Amino acid sequence: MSSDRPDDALSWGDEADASYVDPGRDDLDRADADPAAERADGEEPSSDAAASAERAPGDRRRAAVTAATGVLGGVYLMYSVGWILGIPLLSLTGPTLLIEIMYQFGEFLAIIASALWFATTLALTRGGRPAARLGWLALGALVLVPWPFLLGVLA
Amino acid sequence: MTAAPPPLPDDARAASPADESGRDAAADPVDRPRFGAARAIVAVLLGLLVAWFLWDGLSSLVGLPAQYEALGIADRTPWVVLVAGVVAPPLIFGLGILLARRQSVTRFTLVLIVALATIATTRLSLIATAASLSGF
Repeated sequence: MSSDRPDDALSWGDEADASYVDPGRDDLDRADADPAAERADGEEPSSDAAASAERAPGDRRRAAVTAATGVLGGVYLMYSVGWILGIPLLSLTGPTLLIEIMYQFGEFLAIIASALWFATTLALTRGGRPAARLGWLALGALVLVPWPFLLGVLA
Repeated sequence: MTAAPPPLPDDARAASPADESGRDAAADPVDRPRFGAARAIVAVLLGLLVAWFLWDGLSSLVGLPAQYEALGIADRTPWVVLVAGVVAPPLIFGLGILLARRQSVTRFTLVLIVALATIATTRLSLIATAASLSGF
């Protein structure tokens, strides 16, 4: 760096310099993969190694999100079963027919709540960040715990 | 890891001040749909069910302590659960409206239906908690 160009302090460097790496422009893995390719006796062309190295982290992350979603889906399924089994343990009856109907409707809503939350979260977070989807699913797993079943079994 | 300096964000390099202000001015009317009549109608209709849950919670809050007193176990009245039963329905529904007010009407309706189902589960969970706390 030349000391008679104070603007050097304000820039990242000379973009024409051969050692300049811009992660937004270049393939970082190619910079990493070059020493590895030298060691690997040239089994694959280094551009292929770089391309697959770049694909792998994204694929792994996507697979992890899908796996987590699947596990949470299993949890939600268990919740639905818990609600179906736990609601009869409550034995609520309404004094009038209208109140009885509303109670039944409320119990119906509770049974389908887990499936609704799961489906709605997946539908509304389809294009978004995986963190948002997993966050909403985690929140639902806390909110929708089938206490009537748990408390009825543990009583 | 390479010792590469972080890149400048692309917009800082590409946008000129004139572009920036033009974009801001155009963004507001497009990005913020008015709450509108359709969402209001959906909120009111589904709010009727919330009102029923609220009424159910209020009647429990008012009626249950008297029953407990008559049974001689007034000291085991689950006050927290009874109050929660009144606060939860409007709270959950309000959160749903707040979260989904900028979405399309279909998504807004979907979120409010999920909120209703959540209120239903909360009500039954509270009833189960009250029953187990009082030793029934």
